[in-house]
Amino acid sequence: MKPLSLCLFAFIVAGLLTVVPCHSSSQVKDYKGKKGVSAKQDTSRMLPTTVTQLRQLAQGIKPEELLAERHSGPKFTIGEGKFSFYQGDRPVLTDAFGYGSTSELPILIPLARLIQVDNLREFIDQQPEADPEFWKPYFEEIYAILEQKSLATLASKEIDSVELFNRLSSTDSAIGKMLDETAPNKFAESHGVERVKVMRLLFARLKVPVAFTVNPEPATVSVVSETSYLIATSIGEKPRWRTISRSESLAGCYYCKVTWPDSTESPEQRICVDMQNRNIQINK
Amino acid sequence: MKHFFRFVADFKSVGSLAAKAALAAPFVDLIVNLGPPWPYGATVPILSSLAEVFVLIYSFQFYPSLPRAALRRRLRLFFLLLGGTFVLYLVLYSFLVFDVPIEHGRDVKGFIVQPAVVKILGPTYTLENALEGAEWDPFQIWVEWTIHVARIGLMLVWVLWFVGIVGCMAVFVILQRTARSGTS
Repeated sequence: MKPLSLCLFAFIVAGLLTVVPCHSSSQVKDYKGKKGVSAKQDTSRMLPTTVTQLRQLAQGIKPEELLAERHSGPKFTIGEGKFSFYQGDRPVLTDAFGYGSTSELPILIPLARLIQVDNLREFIDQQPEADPEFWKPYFEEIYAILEQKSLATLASKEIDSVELFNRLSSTDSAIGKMLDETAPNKFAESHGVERVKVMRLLFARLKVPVAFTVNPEPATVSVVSETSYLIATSIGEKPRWRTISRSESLAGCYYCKVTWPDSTESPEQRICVDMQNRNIQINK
Repeated sequence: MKHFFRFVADFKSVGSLAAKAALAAPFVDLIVNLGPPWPYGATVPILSSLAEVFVLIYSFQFYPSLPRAALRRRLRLFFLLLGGTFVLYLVLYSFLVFDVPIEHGRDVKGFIVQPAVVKILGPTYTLENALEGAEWDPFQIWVEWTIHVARIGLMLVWVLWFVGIVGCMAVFVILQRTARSGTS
């Protein structure tokens, strides 16, 4: 065999090893428009009041495909007195430019969370060293929160859309915090291991947590990525604003606006976030 | 395979130590961030080292029986591969890799910009601005397949560079050994 064919052999081996295990970040983006529509159609049919009903709804939008399109699934490793844990990304039920956003379809917030949590529970059950019994009460608590808070809020007819979105987002953040901090920290404590944070580069696209302070409250904060905003305005369309919570992971430049309950809107403001600029204040 | 195992187990010869260093070299990428940004994490160093091990095994299995002239030819070809891929990697890296100013992140560009993005580009709004405005997500700026081609290209050239390094080393060691056994 000549050296060139030797290189070809190395190529093929490297190629095979490269292609099989990798999920590119594009997979989340590929999703846009593909299932956003079907999710919209399916979620508008009924309003679930129990986790079982919400799960039935989730089954209709092929959760396994949505989970496969995530950038990172759940991770758990333990050994030599250390353990690392990642809850896995929530599946994306809206597109990258905010079409079919969670403010238009607030049910997508608990729906995405349930799909993620069910997948995490399944994952934990398959890891004997993860002590599945330890995680059980946390999953039960999350299901109870979803049913008693998120779904009850959704079913309530006395809440306006802004308040509904804010309440669902806040409940969702609390669940996220439980899986990100409370449960893994307790696990570390009860199992006598040190928790090591997983490398962000491995599991997530680089973003920074940004805190929005709005004066006066209550109000709705919406953002659209700068490129999306410019594309929309260049073709004479309205930018697709995405309603976000007060604490959101962002990266790069955006246009941002705030809407108050009396329909007053702040001027559209360009914001750029990075490690230094992580606190945005918007006044009426 | 005895040549390979003798070579790997040899802790006295400079060639063997250098080869071990070469096998570990891809992992330096984890610290210095010189390797391709994709695939993420430790995949790149692991794949590079695997390719090197296979080249070493192949060389020690099939090359010792070759005549010295053929070995010299292979050494020249590996040097050519080493030099060529090094220059090519630097060129590709310079054109196709961008920095994300968050936690020293990097990612790979594509080479054909999406038509919708082309419309908003101008002297005051460059590709760099568009990328920042798209959450540093290349898939919002470039045509998807071009990003995949760029990622695979960078990765393969990087692996080939290490194949060149370790190939040179293996053939050089075999040449030295055949010279020694020829004189003794």
